[in-house]
Amino acid sequence: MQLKQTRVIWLVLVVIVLLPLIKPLGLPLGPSPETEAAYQFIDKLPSRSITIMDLSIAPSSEGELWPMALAIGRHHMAKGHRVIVTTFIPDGVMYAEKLKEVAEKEFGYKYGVDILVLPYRAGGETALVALADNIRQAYDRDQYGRSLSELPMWQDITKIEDIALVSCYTAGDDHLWLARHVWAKHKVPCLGGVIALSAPEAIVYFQNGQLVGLISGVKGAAYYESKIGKPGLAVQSMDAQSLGHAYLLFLMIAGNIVFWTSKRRNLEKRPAGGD
Amino acid sequence: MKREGPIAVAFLSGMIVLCGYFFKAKPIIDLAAQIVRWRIIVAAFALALGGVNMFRLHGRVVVEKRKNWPYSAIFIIAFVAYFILGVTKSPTSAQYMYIWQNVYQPAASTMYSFTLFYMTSACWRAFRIRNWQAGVMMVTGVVVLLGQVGLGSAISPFIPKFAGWIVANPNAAAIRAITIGGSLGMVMMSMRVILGLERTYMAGGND
Repeated sequence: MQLKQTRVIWLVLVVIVLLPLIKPLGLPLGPSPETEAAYQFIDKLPSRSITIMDLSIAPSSEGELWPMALAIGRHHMAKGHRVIVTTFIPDGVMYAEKLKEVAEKEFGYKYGVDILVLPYRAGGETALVALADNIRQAYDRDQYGRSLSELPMWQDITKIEDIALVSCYTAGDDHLWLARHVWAKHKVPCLGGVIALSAPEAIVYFQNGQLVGLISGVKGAAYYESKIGKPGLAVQSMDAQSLGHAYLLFLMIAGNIVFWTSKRRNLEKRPAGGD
Repeated sequence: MKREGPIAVAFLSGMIVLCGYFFKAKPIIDLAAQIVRWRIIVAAFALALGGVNMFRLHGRVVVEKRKNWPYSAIFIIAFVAYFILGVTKSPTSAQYMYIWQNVYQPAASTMYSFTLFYMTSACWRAFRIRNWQAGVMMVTGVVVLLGQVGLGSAISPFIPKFAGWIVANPNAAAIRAITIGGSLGMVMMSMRVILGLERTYMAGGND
């Protein structure tokens, strides 16, 4: 009986998530002051500013993080900012490659002049400390094994203070590392792109001004996509997420009604005076 | 010496990196930066060690034909093939990326997506309002959940505003308390490691 019930619950879930993907409902996105702050900050950066994007994205977090990284990357490129892409997890290399492709194909960016890909570094927080404290000593070659001293863009970077913005896209703690080692020590503006689960923790750093903006989950990504006028995967999946959440709420409420009704019935059935 | 050596290394590394953070003296800053770079090299070795360990573990399962050994054999074949491809071609080569995009990426995303089904079952069976505290938690959860999606705005513009207030005020206050408490604990633990009082990282503990 329980197995049958579970199957029905799962089947309804599949239908509910699939329907809005086939026929979007166009539900409103709602406000997102943290994402708006991120958009405004990037929009005001002068052309040719150098920014770092830490794409610590893995397939498990891709649904939430890649759309926001892509939207912010596109915004940087539309404004003519130079972008350094790096990562602190092995899978991030693939997303760095994808962003480089977008830069070259959509915006005509030239590798080494407008965009640069730094290789993955093991060590997590320690690797970020090395980047923040002495970027030129932390890296000597790019992702493709070329000496960085040969690349024109690298000549304009001597220290982390030459960077206009460091942003991260992570399901881990990269945004906390940025606040600790890039903002607190070097006063370089930082921006966090996090999964929705991390937002309640990361918001504190935005409130304190340690992060200039915070983009969380699909909602943040969808908001950013609409701000740059290029609706993508995040906007498409917002309706599915809305209905999915509504279904979870329905199950929680219905489950409680069933629980309390059956509890009451059991109490009524119990013989008087007995325990 | 077996114990004194690691304690001395921990003390010197910890003190130099700590001083490098607070003092502006160039020799100390340079030395601290050098230690941080060594840490990255050690982390890379740890990664390689993890790979070797996995290889040994699954290799033994295959050799001894233990339960589910074909899965271990598949792991070893994939591990070796992908490793050779990565080393000989590069992780950004077309062949490496093809396998990553068509095998690993969909498989990893699918595995993660399965959690949604378990969450759905949990919503039906596990989230029970047994007392008023659970009731408060449930109402808060419902509001924040609705505030995260367009449906909340569609029902009432007040919902996302209220959800935002919950996240930015009571939640932030609790998170700050947890973070400050945790950080103080981390500072104490770090001091204990630097001073050689905490020795569990040497696997043998205090003995």
